[in-house]
Amino acid sequence: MHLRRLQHSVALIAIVLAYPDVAMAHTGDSSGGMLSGFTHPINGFDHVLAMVAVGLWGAQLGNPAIWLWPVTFPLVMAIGGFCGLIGLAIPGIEIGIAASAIVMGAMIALEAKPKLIAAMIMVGLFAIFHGHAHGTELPEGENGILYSIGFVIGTGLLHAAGIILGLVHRWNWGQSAIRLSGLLIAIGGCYFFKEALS
Amino acid sequence: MTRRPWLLGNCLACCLLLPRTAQAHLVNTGFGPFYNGMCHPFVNFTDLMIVLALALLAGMAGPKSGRYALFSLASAWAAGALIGQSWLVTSWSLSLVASATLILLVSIFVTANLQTPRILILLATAVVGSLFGCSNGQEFASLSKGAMALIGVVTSIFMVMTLATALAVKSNYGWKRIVIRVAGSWMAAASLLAIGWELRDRFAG
Repeated sequence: MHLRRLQHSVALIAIVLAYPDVAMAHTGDSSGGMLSGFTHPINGFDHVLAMVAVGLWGAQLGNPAIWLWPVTFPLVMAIGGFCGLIGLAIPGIEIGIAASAIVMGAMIALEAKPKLIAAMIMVGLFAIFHGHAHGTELPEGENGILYSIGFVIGTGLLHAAGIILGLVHRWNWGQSAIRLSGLLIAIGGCYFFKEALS
Repeated sequence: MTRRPWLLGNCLACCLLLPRTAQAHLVNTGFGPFYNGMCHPFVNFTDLMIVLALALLAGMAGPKSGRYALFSLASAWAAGALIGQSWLVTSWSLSLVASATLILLVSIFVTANLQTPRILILLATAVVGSLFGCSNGQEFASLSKGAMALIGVVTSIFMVMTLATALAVKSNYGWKRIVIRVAGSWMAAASLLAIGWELRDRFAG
């Protein structure tokens, strides 16, 4: 039985390794649009902190937040992005982004469990801020649909990383680790808050 | 394990692995445009996204809706392609804003896990299939063997729709349903951003 499983595993790995992939060396073509979009949320550390914090907090809150955040966040963020793209101004974006890391980091560190509706409003507000910032930053000259797909996948995977990390919540040491992560996220948010004010 | 199936299996494997002429030149076989058509939805992401969104929506509504939607979409796409290639006099194509709007509308239903009536799903597949098919037909109208390419497009659409619908039908509870809804959310988000992208210049001016 073990030998058969090993054989299946070897076969699967061989198929994956043998799969022909294109080098995608020319980033100036349409493939560059999706790659650029995918790396965009990862290049801003303030965004990374907040996206991972969303996943962590969702995992900490448990059901239904653990699945509600990944379902709703991308769409709400896209609404903010749409506003940014069409030039609809929202004041205090950078402050809002920094505040998102501070607030969510603090929530994680304190293991705060507000009412679901309050948490949803909070996360939704932060999603609008982040989305708006991304919308105004989107570069010219890329393929719009490809860039958008890459961007959404990149953001979604950051959430997933936060949720996966948050799964250690089932153990006592994991709970402490998550709270420490929340503290570090909040500290990072304070740094970005200072930068936003200066 | 008996000896006979083992022997038969090995004989079959040997037959399949026997080296033959590659027949790599599609120019000779004439099937190049067909494979081009099959690849078309995978390089034109709006086509792929709308098919996935409709497949997930139909699959979430159950196997019967999935089956009806599968044939409705493929038939409508083929009919639209025929009209676009042969009978449409004026030049027309579906704009990115229009495509993205349709994707957004369908994806919102998937994200919200709304129980969509079968008649609405069939109507959506018929309308979407006709519009996208017509646009594809127009794209390939000027190509030689454009009809072969369109057959490839419809074949590809049918295959993707079958697999995605089956996946959605099987994912009718728990975390699997959540994954489907997240996929819907991602498609809705990407399409909304694409709409904003296209409108950016209009509002900036």
